[in-house]
Amino acid sequence: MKIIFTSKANSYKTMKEAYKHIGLDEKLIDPNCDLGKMKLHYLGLDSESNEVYVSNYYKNKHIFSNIISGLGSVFKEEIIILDID
Amino acid sequence: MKIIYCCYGGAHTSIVASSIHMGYLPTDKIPTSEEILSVPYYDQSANNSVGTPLFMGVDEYTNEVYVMGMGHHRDYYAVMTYEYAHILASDKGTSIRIINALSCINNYIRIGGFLSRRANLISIGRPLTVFGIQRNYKYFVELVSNLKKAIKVD
Repeated sequence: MKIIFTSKANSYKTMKEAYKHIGLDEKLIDPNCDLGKMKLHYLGLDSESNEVYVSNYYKNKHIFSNIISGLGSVFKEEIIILDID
Repeated sequence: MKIIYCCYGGAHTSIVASSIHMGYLPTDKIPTSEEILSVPYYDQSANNSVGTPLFMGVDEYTNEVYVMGMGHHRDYYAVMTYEYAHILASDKGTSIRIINALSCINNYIRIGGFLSRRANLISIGRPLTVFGIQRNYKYFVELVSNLKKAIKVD
């Protein structure tokens, strides 16, 4: 399973939640970090060996969610999108 | 391989291109209005379903053909889709190809699509999109034929 943490454009907040989920030290995050627009970044595996990604959807959240979950079903992969906004 | 035809809303240009690819529409003549309107998903997609891949079938090379609307930010979404598909496909031994069907659009399809899908004036918009598609049909055929040549080379 893949877990994707996302927000509109708040890269730091997204990273913070993902770091918490994985169990990493939040102090390691650069407060000025920028995830870019609609780019997926792999962060690591959580305690249940789920792949964790972070991304900013920037605009049109429903299109972002539809593409991520739609392609997930095309490739028969379970996807969880966690919108932290 | 998975082939995804994309356009703005996934209702007209990508549907027609994928239908030519699948053989639902002819390549040797301009189809009639009835033929175009009988294609699956033609002028059907709702605004909130933009981004959802629609399965059109499996072609003669056993590639799965899909249609997807990507809205205004196609450039960003195409890059994201490639990267994401690479992540998903890496352990499944398959690849993906995204084709921009909007290269075949004209103002008749643009205005007709807006009237039908956004303004809900289907009786005016839908025939206009059909007319626009018939006018540019040779470009759709060329797009698909170029893709099939490229697939053969691969």
